[in-house]
Amino acid sequence: MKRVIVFGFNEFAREVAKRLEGVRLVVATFSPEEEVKARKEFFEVVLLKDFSEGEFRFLRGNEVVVCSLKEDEKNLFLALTLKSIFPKITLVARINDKQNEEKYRLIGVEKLINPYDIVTNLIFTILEKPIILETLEQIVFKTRKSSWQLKEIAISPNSPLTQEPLRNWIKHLTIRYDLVPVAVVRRNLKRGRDRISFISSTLNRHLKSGDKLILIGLEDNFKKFEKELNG
Amino acid sequence: MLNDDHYPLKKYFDLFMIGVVLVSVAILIYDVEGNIPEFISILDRYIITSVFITEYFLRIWVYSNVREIILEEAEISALLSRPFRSFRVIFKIIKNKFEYMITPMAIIDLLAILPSYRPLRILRIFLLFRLFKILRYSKSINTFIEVLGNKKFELFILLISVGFVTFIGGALMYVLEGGKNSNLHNFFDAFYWSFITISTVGYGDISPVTSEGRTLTIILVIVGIGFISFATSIIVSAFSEKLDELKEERRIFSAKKLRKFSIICGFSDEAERVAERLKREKEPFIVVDIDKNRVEEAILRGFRGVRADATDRNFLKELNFEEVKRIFVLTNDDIVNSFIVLSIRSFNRQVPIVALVSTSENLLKLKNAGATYVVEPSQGTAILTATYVISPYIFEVLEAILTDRRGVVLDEIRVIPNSYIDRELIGEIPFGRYRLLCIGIWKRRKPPNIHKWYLQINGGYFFFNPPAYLRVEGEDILVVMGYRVNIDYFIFNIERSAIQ
Repeated sequence: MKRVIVFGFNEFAREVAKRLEGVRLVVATFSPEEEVKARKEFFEVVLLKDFSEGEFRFLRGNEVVVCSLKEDEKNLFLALTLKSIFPKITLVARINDKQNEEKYRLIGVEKLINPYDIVTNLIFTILEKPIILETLEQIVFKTRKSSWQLKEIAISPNSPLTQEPLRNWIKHLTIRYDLVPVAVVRRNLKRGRDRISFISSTLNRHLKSGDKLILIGLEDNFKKFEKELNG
Repeated sequence: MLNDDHYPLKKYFDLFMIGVVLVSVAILIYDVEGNIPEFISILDRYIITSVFITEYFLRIWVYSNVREIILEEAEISALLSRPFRSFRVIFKIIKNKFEYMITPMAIIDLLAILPSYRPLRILRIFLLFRLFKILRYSKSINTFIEVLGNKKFELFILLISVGFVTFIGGALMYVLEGGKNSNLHNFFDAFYWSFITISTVGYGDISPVTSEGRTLTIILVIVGIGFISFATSIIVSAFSEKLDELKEERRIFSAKKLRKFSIICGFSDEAERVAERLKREKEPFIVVDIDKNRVEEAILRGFRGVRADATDRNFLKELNFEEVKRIFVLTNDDIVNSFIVLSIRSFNRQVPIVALVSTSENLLKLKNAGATYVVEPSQGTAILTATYVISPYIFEVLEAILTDRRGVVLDEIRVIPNSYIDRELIGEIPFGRYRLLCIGIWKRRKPPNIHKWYLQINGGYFFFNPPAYLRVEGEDILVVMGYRVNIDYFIFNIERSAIQ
């Protein structure tokens, strides 16, 4: 199971931690008060004294770490410390002050969460595409309890999906399984980075092993699809 | 039209009047040399004068409403059950009109007309009063006078002290050099010399000849320099005080000319991003903030910033809500946001308002205050972060949907009633021809013949993968995926068929 460490336990960190399902979650904090609060809701909580190397011994170096300390100074230093001890760690950092965006980039943080950009995008989506946003909210953000999911499915080497162009599979997916194909993640071996594209721009190409298909559908339909795909 | 600054044709009327005044003064100046063609003097005497007279009487007429005065008087008479006396009313009207006639502006108007009746040489000087008439038509000159008016007290002090010192200087000069100086004939000469010296103009037509007189000159010049710098500083400070206010007025005034614009209340970090995006999409907008520094920052970033209180009735009254496309309420304080939303809603019920909320508890409160949409930054950001941790790909898909930045987009298409897709079956709509994929459909009512899972959204029903036999109706919303150009072309064809 993937191990995820959330640093800090402020409102933002708590919201993130609450939504992390299906992972082994560790909350790490520098403040004793936050530790007490975190213990009420989560099992694994670590209290750190300072940024010395010894304090980070509980990490293995292959985890995903969410840096969400309140002050950018400390948050940046945390990211810097983690990167220097564990070069292979995956860092997700939340920016507090927009002026510091470039500094996080310099450290080599894998994903920067810029709340201001996200809010702007949300605002415009809500104005221009309210139905789409509401749908996403219900499926991904789980504002209402439902068994709808947005899920990725990995393509195995001898999957039948690789044998014909994607176009021919669409009808099959939508009618037989009632799954909505949304996007395809194509493995790019040359560059070592995966490319993601919406389904309608890649209809004429074949899927390859290692690619991923992102679909929307009901949980049961996903199970049925996966079962028939593998069996 | 004469009094209302906002009447659109007033600008042209004012320009016309300024032109007439300038022409009449030009004629006067040429006339000094004594040779102007006959027709021009006729033009001057009759046409220009009649324009001025007409304007003068019109202004007297619009100053007060005669009918109102009569009605009021009639009412009072009826109330007190005394006979209605017309002379009382006429007296009242005349008194009222006379009130206007003795205002400075009206006197200038009158003086500009008078010389045309009497071709007396001396009265011609009054023709120059026509130049003063320009004051009436130019807003900037009026503001200039207004600005100086604010410093009435300081200017008065200055005038008194200048007068006092000039008088003493003149008297001393007269005493010291009267009779000794051949250019100094009377007390007025001494007074005139004193003033010319104090003002540091120093023509030199009268100059001191005795050493006492020269000492006096030195003192007067020093005092004079003091006075001039004092006068300059008064005027400069008056302007710098007024300048910000004037700029603000101009900005609000120019904001009124915008069509279909958005308003951003509060220039927070979020607002900055929203402003950037609006600018990129070339949508007109104004940024309103109560804090001077933040407004300045907005202006510095190239946005149209206005310093105003968004909860102030007077400010809201100034806005033309017909032209407001939507309002963003983006301060970082939920209490302030609610107050702004309530204030706007009390003025206008239709305009869409998007508000920011920092604590989930207050989300419902803002909705109840009248915000059309409420966005919760901490929630949205946390969800996306968690999504990234679990699956970076799904995060990227969401980001692509939210930002619209890729060539392919997910978009909503409203089914226009009576367009060619209205009452059509899903299977019959040529999505393939536009290279679009129909992801889903939103319907206000649940169709009877469909047995599919749905999501309840915005008071309607959303179906993924709509089956081919489902009938599309007006006001349904199709969610499609495809290239921007193709989507736009599809929408264009729907709109065109609706018009036909």
